[in-house]
Amino acid sequence: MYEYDALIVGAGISGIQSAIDLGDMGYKVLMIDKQSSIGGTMIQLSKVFPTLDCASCITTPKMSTAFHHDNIEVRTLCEVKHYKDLEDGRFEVILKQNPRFVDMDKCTGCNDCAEACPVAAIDLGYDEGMSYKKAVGVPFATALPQKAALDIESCIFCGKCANACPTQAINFDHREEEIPINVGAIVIATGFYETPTIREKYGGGKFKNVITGKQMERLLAPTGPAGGVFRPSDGKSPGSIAYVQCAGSRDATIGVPYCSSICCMFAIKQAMLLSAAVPLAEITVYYMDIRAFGKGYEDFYEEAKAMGVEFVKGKVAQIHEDDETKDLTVSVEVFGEDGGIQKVDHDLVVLSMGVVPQWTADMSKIIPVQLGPDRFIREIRFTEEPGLTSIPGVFAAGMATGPKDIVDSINSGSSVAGKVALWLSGGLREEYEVQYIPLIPTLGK
Amino acid sequence: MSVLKIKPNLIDEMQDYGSFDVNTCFNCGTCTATCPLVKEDSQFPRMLIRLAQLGQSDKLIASKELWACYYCGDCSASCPREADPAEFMMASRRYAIANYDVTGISKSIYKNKLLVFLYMLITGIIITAGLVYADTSRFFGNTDHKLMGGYYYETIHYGGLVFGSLLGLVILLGVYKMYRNIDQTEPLRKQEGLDTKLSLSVKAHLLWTTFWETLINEGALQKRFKREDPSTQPAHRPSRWVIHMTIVWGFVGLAAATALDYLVKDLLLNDPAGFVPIWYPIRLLGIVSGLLMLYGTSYSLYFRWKKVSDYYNTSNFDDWLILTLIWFVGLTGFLATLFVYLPQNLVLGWINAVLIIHVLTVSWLFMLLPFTKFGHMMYRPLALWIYDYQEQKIAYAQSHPMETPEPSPVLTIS
Ligand code: SF4
Ligand code: SF4
Repeated sequence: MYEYDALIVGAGISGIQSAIDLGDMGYKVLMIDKQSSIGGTMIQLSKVFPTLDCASCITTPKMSTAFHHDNIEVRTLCEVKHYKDLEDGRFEVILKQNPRFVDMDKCTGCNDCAEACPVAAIDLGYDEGMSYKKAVGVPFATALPQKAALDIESCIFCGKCANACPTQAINFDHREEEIPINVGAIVIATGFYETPTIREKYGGGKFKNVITGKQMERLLAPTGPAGGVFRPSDGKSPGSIAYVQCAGSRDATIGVPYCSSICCMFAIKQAMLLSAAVPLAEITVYYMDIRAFGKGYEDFYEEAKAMGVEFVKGKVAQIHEDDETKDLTVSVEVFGEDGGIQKVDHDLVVLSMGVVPQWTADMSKIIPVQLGPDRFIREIRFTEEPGLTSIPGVFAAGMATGPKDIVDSINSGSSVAGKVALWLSGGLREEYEVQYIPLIPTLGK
Repeated sequence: MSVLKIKPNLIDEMQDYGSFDVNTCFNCGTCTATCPLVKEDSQFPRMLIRLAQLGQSDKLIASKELWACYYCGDCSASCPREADPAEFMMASRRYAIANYDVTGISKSIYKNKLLVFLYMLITGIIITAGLVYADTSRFFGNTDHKLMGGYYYETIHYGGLVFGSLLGLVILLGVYKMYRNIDQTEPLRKQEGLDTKLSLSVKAHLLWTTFWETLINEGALQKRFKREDPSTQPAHRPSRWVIHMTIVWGFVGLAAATALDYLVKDLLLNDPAGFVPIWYPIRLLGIVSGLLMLYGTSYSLYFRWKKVSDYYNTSNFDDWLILTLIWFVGLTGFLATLFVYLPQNLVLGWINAVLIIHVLTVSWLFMLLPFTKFGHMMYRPLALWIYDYQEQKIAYAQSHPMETPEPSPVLTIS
């Protein structure tokens, strides 16, 4: 039985931040992630608002600080399988270590295996379906650990990688393992997915040139699949690009009645980046209201307008696809003086999908933290003691508790690290005895 | 210029007329851009929801858009706030009908649905008593015209006339109120001096042509109804348009048959209760119309019961009531006709019941017309006609700029 002070579930930006802070304070931390590399969503992104700093320039140093930290142990392809509250301020957890099929000790990260692999599967992970990937190889250029992993789902068992590997690291005998540990605190930092349901009226995911915000993020990222922005149907450079705001948020019909809080800003950011990446393209953002609430956000919005991005008030109701050209037409009731029903043609449409938690009700059967009505993890006193879940000693950080942008996620990671330190030193016990007032009684109606 | 009243509690007040929740509407316009019937110049449902949120009752009930909607339910299916805009449109129509009714009966039966049964009970007792006991021969001398079952033709005839005139008056007042309302709130009218610009003959002409256009397109063919997205209708069941058309035509056919029957048998032959063979054209018209009506209402009731699609999902009490009444009118009418041609000893016990139900349901149907959703059959075409007329006037004025006297030819000297 291994012992740690804290277990951090999820190695995205807020989990990493928690881990670094706790490690720096001298606590022994185990950080796990179910992916084959740490970095979470942020490592996929292009730039951050409102400073337009490069996202990986912020993420990569933090990733490597955590990864090489003396007090932090990192496990990838690893999940929580079983949990027990020992009632003495500690927890017993059984981790599930999924097989990597590559011996980490032997692999040097040379990526010869990927060269040899004949498979080309759609990369639904890192590249959000915008490119193809091999069944084996280092997950992406800045991945940590810099070790190959083999995806057994897309593998055709030809064995070419095993032959190509100079250190014989490929090992098909790997099996799932159980690792029992004992920890003093748990931080859930499992982040979010993009809203998975696309409205039928927006093509339900069937229109080729209708992509999601995260897919556009990949196209814009310097590490992106094609080094530029293209139309998925024919690879052409789009002449007119539309953003549909609230495409996957504030919509009870797809089960996401809340505001996802990041979509306005990432759309504005992407629109700005597109003005530079595709200088001739006309960019239109269809919105209901722009929620530029953070520091410097409103200025950022004004800047985008000044750059020529067109902001049109109205929610897109339908998108039509031309059968042959795959061009798109959006229908929208536009507000204002010469408003009314408009049908506008665009080459590429980006849906600003919202966010839904990765932590699900099923996961709450393993670690029984309460969920709020929005299905994010409930913070029992989120206005005064953020990060406290319904279980003393189990904390939640980042998007796991609700929509947050990057600044807030990093803040949340740090603040939860503080709470964990308090907890580990015997504090924070009375906080749980207060009569908790539910703060979000209902959602939607 | 009249002043528009604001009703701050309009939405609460409208809850009596349907179950919707437009308080949650955040005015995104998805509904408007989804609606297959919206044109550039008329935007709904969002605009009307906005009016309701602002308490602009007069503008709401005077709007043409109210009647341009045929409740396909597309908007409700796409509303991100699940505010049920389609049901709101339906409720607004009921609300408008209730507000055009001068007697207040409509408002009270929507407020308290049980009152409608009280209303039906009272009128039912009067009618049945009249039918069974009234010996009209005392007043009219002629006792020969006994119908099947021994009822007096005169009772039905004159009783109907009295009821009919009363209802006619209520309807006329309602129509007038509607016209006034549109006239006062209609923004089209604000086109400066339009009315004085056009000559009386032009106006009469436009009134006449738009009347026929409305009658044919909206009444006879229900074109707008048909324009609604066909993709929402699975092929294996009759479309809403077909169902509605059969009810409309069945209804018109029966009304025509009754009127013609009266003309021919009463006025020409002076034998209103006389026997006619089944191939008698007016009788045939009646039978076919009755069957059409039965077909339409049966499907409609069945679909509403089974909730086969969004459109059939929400049924208010008046939907059930009116459809059931029409269904019974059709059935009993058909049976009564059948009885005439069956051996009398076979049907004797049934005749009275069937006839009484028939007369009762027909009377109820007409008595409910100005007070319930059923009133749409007057108000919808009327509103569309008035609006069409206004639009035509504007179009005419625009295409015929003010006739200025021809400039007198100028002699040019070269
Ligand atoms: S779609 Fe719903 S929320 Fe949007 S304007 Fe219409 S009724 Fe309101
Ligand atoms: S019910 Fe259909 S016709 Fe009526 S407003 Fe909604 S979408 Fe338009």
